[in-house]
Amino acid sequence: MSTTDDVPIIDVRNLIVGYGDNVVLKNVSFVVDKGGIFAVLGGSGCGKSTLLKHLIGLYRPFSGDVLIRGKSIVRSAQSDKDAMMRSFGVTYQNGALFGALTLLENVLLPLEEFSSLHHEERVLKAKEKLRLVELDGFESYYPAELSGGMRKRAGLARAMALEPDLLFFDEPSAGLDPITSAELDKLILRLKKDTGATFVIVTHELDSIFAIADRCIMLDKQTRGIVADGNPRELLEKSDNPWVKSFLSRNNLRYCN
Amino acid sequence: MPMPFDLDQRIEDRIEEVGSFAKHIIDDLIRMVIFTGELSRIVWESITHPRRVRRRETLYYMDMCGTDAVPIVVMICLLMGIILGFQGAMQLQKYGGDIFIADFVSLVIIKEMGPLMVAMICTGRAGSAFAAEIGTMKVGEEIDALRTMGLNPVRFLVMPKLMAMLLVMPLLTVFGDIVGIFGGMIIAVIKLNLPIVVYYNRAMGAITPLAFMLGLFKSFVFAFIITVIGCRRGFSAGNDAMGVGRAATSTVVSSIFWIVIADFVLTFFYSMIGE
Amino acid sequence: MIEANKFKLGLFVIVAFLLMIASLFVFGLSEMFKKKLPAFSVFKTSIQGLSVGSPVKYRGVPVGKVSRIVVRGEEELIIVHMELEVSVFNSKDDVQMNIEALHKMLEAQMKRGLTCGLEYVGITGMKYVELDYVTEDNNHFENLPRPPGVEGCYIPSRQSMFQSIVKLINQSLNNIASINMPEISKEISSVLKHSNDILSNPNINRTIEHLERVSNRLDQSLESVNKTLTPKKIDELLNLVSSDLRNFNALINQVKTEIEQAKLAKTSEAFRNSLGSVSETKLAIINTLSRLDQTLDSITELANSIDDDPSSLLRGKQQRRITDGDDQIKSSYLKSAENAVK
Ligand SMILES: Nc1ncnc2c1ncn2[C@@H]1O[C@H](COP(=O)(O)OP(=O)(O)O)[C@@H](O)[C@H]1O
Ligand SMILES: [Mg+2]
Repeated sequence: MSTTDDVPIIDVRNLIVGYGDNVVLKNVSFVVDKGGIFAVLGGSGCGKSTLLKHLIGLYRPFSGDVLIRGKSIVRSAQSDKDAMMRSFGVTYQNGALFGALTLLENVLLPLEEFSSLHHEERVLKAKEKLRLVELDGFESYYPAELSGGMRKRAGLARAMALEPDLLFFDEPSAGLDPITSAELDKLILRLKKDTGATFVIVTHELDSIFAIADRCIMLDKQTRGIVADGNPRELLEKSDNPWVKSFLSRNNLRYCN
Repeated sequence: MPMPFDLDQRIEDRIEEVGSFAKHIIDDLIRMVIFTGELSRIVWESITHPRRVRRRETLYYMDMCGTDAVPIVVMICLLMGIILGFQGAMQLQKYGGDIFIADFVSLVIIKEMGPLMVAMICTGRAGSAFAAEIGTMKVGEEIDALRTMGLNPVRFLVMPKLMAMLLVMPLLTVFGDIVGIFGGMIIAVIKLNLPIVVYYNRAMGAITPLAFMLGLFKSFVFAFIITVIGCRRGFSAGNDAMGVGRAATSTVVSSIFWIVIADFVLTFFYSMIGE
Repeated sequence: MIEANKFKLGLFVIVAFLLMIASLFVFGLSEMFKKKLPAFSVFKTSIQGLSVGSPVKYRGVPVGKVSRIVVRGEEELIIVHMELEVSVFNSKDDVQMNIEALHKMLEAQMKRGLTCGLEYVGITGMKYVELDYVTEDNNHFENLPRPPGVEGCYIPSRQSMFQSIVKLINQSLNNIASINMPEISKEISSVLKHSNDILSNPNINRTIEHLERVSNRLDQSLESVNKTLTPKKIDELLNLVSSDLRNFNALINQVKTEIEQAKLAKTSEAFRNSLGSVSETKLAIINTLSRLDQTLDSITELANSIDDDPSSLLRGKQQRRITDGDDQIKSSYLKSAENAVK
């Protein structure tokens, strides 16, 4: 529809989010432009996942608005919302694969529900996605039979099944060993190059951020808002906020509290 | 003196407890009605677009909640028939009403015990499994994943279970009814020395097709209650293993509660049409 | 993992479904396909115990069901609609009848006295409709005319054995109630005054005591009667009563002659009159009492036998003779009645 280049792909305006009486983030505003890898940074428990879930329209914010390609996901009717949700892919912290389905079936699921392809074509496509995340040969495995990293990659394959141009990724490298984590980063970079999609990545892994992020925002638990916004390397050099500097330079303050 | 104050306080606490319990039940009821409303929309959608119902899952749950429950249903209902037969025999023998054991056992089984026992078994087997399954999916963000894929979790997760349960529970009740009546026959033959034919004839005379069908309809309603409560509890489970456990437990408790209430209401309506 | 075992599931569904259909048929869905003759009867008395669904039997063979019960208040009529199963009846050449043939056959049989009455099903207080013929000993039959505006085969009703018994008992109770006890006792005391030497101990109090006791027992017995009477038992019982009554009549006559021989004529005119009336009243009382007593004894005996073996009513298995003990009670009572008269 209105996917013109001048409209930012995500536009967050004065978002206030939280659970019950507990405000987790307040007055969060930022804009994500098309293309590139956008990282949301912050210590554990400062509201990264919460923000992500509001961006993708799972939760309703206390106030404020989230526009995806210029259209509010907060105020849309359920059917519009479903359509908007289908237009992007989400990979969750632990993959969120359906335990009752094999890897292939997991990736096939969105195709079965929303594409008009024949069954054979769907299977071909799903296998292709699995090959993309280097999981060929594991089609008939169940999620419980896979390692954490493999699950995340499978989740990524499923998120990409409908070939969205916007991908959300919650903690791609959390709980993985450095080598697997680095491989996942490489995969994301490759995907970005191949597909030209926009990535929104939530993480607290500095290696990942410096390796892949084009731009990042930093959340802080104390101020409950954004404390820094820009390219991570530039921030490390130029930021006048001591906390940001120490976080990015891996001082003891790795986790905010 | 602190004594009377304490007593007042305690009474007040009790009243408060009762009040909050009632509020809890009413809230629960309201949430269940909302959920049922959402479900009705999906059911309607499934009726107008039958291909939207996931066949494979439906068959799986039919297998899991139906076929796999046959042995336990048969065993429990057989024992129920035997127990009813025993109790009935002891009382009826006093009045020389031995023969009425057939009427007694078959009517109680058909009208109450069959549907009720099957409902209890299915609550324990299926209802809690539904809650645990959906609760675990919630913890693993699978529900969120479904929603962001634009898939309605109710349609995707509840409909197959509901369809399966609605189809399978009345069928299980058929089994339960038949073995229950058979259980009564064992007692009639062994303890009261009634000929099998006499028992059979009396039982068949006592049961009307309408009573039988109304019993099966009870099962149908119970299936709905069990599925709705199980799934709803799963969706509202706390985000951890303990939350899932609690969801399963409270599914069993509130399913039994609402089943008994529904049974009462249905029995009342049945009595109004003379069954 | 989430694959159903199709064979197992299919087997389950098919078996359960077949069982369901089979059960429906066994439980009486097949009824719907049977041919039925609509019939009805009319009652002017209570049909307590009869309800929709109660069986209709032809001399004990189930041939149908009560389908509807209508009350016509203005005419004090209760119309009981029945459905008779055609398939039960065969014609003379052993072929199944059709509806018209059955209708004709019933009409013909009604000319021969086929009527319907209400009989008890066991001890439950439930009744069924019995099609049977009016005979010599149950001809309490008042033929109600066919009420206008009702469709179907009309089978007139007869009064049941039980209803006649209740009527008899009611009559006896009324007789007892109409006895003027104070008058009697006054008369008796005047007689006593006048004839101290002859009737020094009239035992009237004892008679009254007996009366009370009897009426108590009557209450109890009526209860058991309600629960337990069946026509067969009542036949036995009535025979018993009448034979005992015969014996007792002999006794009464003997007593009467004894009293007459007591040279009462010597006393004054007034006294003789009063004595005559007293002895007659007394005889009437004793007569009634003894009759009641016999009945009650028999009923009690019946109740006891039912107590001992409750199934007998349902199965009709055991038939016990009246025991010696009961005879003793009876003869002792007769003796006391004798004393009372003396
Ligand atoms: N479902 C929930 N209900 C209530 N509070 C929550 C819920 N999920 C997260 N929180 C709270 O919100 C805050 C942010 O959590 P989250 O967004 O998961 O942090 P992270 O940045 O590690 O992803 C935490 O303090 C957490 O306690
Ligand atoms: Mg998180």
